[in-house]
Amino acid sequence: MTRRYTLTTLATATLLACASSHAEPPPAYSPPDYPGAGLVRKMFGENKLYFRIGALYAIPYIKTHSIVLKNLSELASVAVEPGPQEGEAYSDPQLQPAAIIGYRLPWGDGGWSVETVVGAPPTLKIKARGKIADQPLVKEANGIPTGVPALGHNVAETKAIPPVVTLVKRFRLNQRLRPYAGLGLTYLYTYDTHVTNPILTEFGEPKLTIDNKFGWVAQAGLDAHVKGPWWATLDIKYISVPNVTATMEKTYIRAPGLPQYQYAEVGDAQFKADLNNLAITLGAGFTF
Amino acid sequence: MTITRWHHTSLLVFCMATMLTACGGSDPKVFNPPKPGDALIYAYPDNGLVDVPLSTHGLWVFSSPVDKQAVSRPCTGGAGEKPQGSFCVTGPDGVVDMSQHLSVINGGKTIQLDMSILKAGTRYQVWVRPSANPQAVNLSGDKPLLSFRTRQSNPIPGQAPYILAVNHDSPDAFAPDTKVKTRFPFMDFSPIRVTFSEPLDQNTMVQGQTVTLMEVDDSGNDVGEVPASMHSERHYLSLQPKQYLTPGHHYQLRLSSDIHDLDNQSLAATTLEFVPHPSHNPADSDKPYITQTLQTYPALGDPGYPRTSHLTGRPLNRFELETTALGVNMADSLPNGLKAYLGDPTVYPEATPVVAPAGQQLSLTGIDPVKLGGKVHTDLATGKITGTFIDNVTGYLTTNPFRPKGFQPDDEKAPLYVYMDFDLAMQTENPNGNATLNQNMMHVEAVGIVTIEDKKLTFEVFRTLEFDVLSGATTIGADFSLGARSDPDIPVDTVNHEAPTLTGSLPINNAEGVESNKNILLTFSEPLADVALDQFHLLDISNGGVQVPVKVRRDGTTLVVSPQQTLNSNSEYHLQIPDQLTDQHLFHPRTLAHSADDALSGGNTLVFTTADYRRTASGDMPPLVLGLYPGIGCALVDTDKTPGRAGRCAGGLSTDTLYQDFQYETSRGISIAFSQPMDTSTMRVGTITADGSACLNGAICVGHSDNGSQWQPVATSLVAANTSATLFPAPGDMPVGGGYRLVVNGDEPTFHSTAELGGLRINTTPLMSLQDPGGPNIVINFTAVAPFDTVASTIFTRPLTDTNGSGFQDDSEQERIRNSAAGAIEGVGGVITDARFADPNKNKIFLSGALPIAFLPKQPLDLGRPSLGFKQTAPNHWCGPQPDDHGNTFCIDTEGDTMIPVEANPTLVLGTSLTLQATVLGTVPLTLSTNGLLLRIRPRDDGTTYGFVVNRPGDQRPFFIVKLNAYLDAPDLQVAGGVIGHDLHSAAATAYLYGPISYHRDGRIFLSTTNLNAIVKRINVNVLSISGANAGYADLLLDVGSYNIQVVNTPSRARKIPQPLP
Repeated sequence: MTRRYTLTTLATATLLACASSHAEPPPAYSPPDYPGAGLVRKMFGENKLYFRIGALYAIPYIKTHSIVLKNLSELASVAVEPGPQEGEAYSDPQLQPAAIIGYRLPWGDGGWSVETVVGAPPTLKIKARGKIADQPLVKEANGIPTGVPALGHNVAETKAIPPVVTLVKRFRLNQRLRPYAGLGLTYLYTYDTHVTNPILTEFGEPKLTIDNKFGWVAQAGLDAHVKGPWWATLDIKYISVPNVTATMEKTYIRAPGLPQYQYAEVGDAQFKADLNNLAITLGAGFTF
Repeated sequence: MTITRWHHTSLLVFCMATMLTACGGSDPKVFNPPKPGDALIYAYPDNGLVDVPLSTHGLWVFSSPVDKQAVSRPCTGGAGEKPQGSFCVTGPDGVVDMSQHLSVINGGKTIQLDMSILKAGTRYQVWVRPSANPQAVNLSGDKPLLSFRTRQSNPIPGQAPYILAVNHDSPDAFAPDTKVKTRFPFMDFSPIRVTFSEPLDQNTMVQGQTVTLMEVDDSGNDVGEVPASMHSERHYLSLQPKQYLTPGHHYQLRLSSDIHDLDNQSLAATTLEFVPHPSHNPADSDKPYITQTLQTYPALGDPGYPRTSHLTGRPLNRFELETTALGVNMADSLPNGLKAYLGDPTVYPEATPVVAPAGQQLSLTGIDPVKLGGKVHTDLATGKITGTFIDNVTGYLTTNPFRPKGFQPDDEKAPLYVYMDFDLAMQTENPNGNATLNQNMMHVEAVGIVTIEDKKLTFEVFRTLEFDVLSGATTIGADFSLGARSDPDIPVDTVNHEAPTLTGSLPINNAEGVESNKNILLTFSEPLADVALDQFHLLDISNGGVQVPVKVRRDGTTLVVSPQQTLNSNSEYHLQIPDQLTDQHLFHPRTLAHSADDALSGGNTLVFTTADYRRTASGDMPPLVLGLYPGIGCALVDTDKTPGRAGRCAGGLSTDTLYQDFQYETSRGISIAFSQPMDTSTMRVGTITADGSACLNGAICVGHSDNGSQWQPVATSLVAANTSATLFPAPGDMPVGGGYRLVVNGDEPTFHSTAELGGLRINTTPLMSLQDPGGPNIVINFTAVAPFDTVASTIFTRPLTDTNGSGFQDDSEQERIRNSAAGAIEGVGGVITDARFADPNKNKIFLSGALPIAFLPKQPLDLGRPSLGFKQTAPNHWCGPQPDDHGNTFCIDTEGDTMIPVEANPTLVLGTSLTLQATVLGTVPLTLSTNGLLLRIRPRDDGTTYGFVVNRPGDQRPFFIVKLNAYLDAPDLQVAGGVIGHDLHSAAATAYLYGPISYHRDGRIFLSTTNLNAIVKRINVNVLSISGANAGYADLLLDVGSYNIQVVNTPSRARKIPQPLP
């Protein structure tokens, strides 16, 4: 968390420094004269479409509601009780290129726009911590040590397309520093979801499905005019998809302590959590 | 334009999403386990099992229904050939005809075979072809599925004993330096169970001498004998080391050639070597690797009880003890918890060892009361039935053996397997019941499946246990589908609630006239540990307290104390029972408790006096053959007189009813019982001569002839006892329907009485004179017939007055009213003007007999059957067919609607002499002694003699009613030096005997009868023995209740072969 704030503070300071180096107000609209820019203007209109390309630092914050084992196989039921398990999921922060694309709405003073974020779909590495990761889930079956090791932290990966659409209001449109705020929706769309845990994948990959679900986005940022058509932007989004359900089925593991069984079917594991993400984007761009 | 631009924007986002999705990975590679397919999933007997009782139900269980028609179709094939058929059992004679014994149960998924059709001691193969169950993926037509060997309970003639199995494995796997691998690892907790080919002479099984468990070092040098608890009986030897063996060390079990079978043939000296594997992990840990509680579940009182067996479709943990003798009895398992330990499965992945330490128990509800035929109630009850594991229960958990190695278990189609081996001492709560039922079930291998149910590892093992009941008179085969669950959290009751007590003894305390060549049986309330068994002292008090060496072995809850020498006659003995005896409780063993109502009235010394065999009233008297099965104990004449009749005893009257042709039930032993203690060294089997007239090199022999002229020997084993012997043919050597001959030599070589009794030859013509030894050979032709009885035994008149078999009551012989006939002279006539007993107190004939009987299946109550001829004069009120000799009507009342017929085979009864004083013509005094009397239970003219067991109102005991037709003979009665003759030859008399059957704490079953009818027998005297020239008479009255016969079984210690005594 400290690191997150440090980054944000650093970015803000950089932007302020950029803005303060140009005391005079920015031009009202300075159309860029780059190849293709005209075409874009032709498609979307003049002074409508803008982008900020840069780096997005995503800080996932997964609030685990429950990890529940159910539909246990007969064998698994000997070793573990169905129901809630102790532990939580998490995912590491990641930095990746991204672009904010906005479209200035023809309303009011021109400070309204809709924005989205475009980038390579992030690979979400779902990890676990706590008892579920550090201790064997099935230590004993009827008093017989199963030999099943602790799962460890790595559980699964998924690629996520969380299309984010926000309605943004910019302020101080005549100033070099233009703060803005926005609200919007996101839709969690995952694909290429698969379990990566070596214990869970010894015989095959369990079937892992993650609910596709709408969420909400709160956004705040600061545009700083750099030069000509160029602006630098610090954008912070809080993206929340509440109550996401992930279900793992057809899981087979080896229980070395029960050598008569070549493999042991586990049953279903259901994970429910709020998938929250703090997405900090530092970028630069211009308006077509 | 605005709309167009929005459209473009949406399209862009959609295309990006679609493109990125398309770039994503494919579906996960989900593991789909292979389908196991339907299969044969279970079989009992287990492959290689060597001790399968014939009462077994074989089971072959599939995961899907079999083709019933195919399975039921008879197989074809000769000896040594591959059988043709879907489900076949083959033996040495080829295909076994199973048509009446095979059934399909359990919803069509289980083939069940009643194995009573098989022969003892024989190896069989089971063939299950794919056509038996086309869905099954694991059947092969080329070779047998498995093989097994049936139990050999009886001795085998002409064959030295050998080791059949060691811990249910091949003995070769335990030979020193063997390359043969054991099927399962021998563990540090494992007992050693050696199964022999036939019963052994237990006197030759001496721990530390003929049986030695020795630890040896790597060089083969002896380190020291390993303390072990030994159970040896019949053809079983179990040794349970008292401490865990040390893994990796070498132990040798040495069996010497001094071990003999009951035919005195030696076991080849054998050394078996064991190198135990560790059950702890690490090996030097004191703690078991895995602790479990095995709990019978669901048991009586548990929800869902009884559950249905996967293997039989019948209730689990509810045991049906069904036998014709006792009907159907149910016993429910009570909740039991056994502490058990598992070895490390990762160390023993193919067969994970399990142990439940000895000294733990399983309990069942009882049979209260025991009912004959399931209908005729007795006063015998068992109370709770408990089984105590007398050695460690060893088990192995494996994958399903009918699937390839490493096959993934599947509860339905390839369940895990468990092999449980144990030795169990059975006991009952009720002392009377315990005396007749307690026994050891040795070397039991129960095979089962292990599934997961209700989140627990659940065991279901099946095994047919063969119980000996009624003191060994019969057996019950009980199918045990035992269900148990494994859970470390189930508490085990570690409290020892009761200390052991001595509930019965044989002889009873302060008994007199005890046979001097018998074992002493002490029956306790529970099995005892191997503690202080060497602290028994048998003292000959009449000989200055000299100690008699004894050996003590445990047999169920009974201790068998074997004096190592024949006891002195007429001596008082004290058997001191050590107070240090303890029960076998695993957690808190308790020492022997005494109470006023125990068998020694609170004491610890059993006092008894041996019989006094001195003859004071007569000279030496040769022994008689009182009981012979099949046959009669006399040389026969008129053997060819009437078809279907075997002849009559030589010396009788030509008008005697001829014995019917004799039959022999192949399930029984050939038995011979004598009137005196015998020299067991003369009890030897001979070889029949070619003409079938005699035995060579032995006193008794059996032969077979196809044409009745040329006789071939039938090999038999002979097991000798003090006053009897039993012969056992080799398995299958006397097929049903065959014609056979039993010969007992009258001349040498023949049976002799003990030296103390003169060492005389048997008398084969007692009707000529009781005093003459020898005589023509007893030649009995008989036909072998299929078993038809439910209980068969030779029962003996007890207690005896005439212990020395002299035909007289000698000075030291005490009156035993229960086997006597008290006479009275009711009238005289002719030249006899007065007659009375010389001594009014000696008016009794004391009786000695041995009666081969057989209980038959129950029948509707009808005492009007020809054998009895009673008339029902009112409901449940039955009266004799005619008034008795006093003109009185005699009747009995019955209860219920069922009776048990009892076949009473012909026999001889020896009676003691009466001395009469008569007056002839009012002036001439005449003293006469009848000398020994002979009572012949004779056949009915029109068939076998049957008695009936019935109930009577207000009495829990069963009652026996029989009409005994007898001939009374006084072969040696001479009146006036032979000048005056008499007609006490084949004097016919009929007695209706009636009385209760009762069960005693010493294991004996008493049948105590007395006569319902007054019997008046006129004894005529004549001149010069001219028949018909009667000159006078005396009427001898046996009044109602004065003629008593009490017969008792010999507690066989649960049908164990009576042991030859040292």
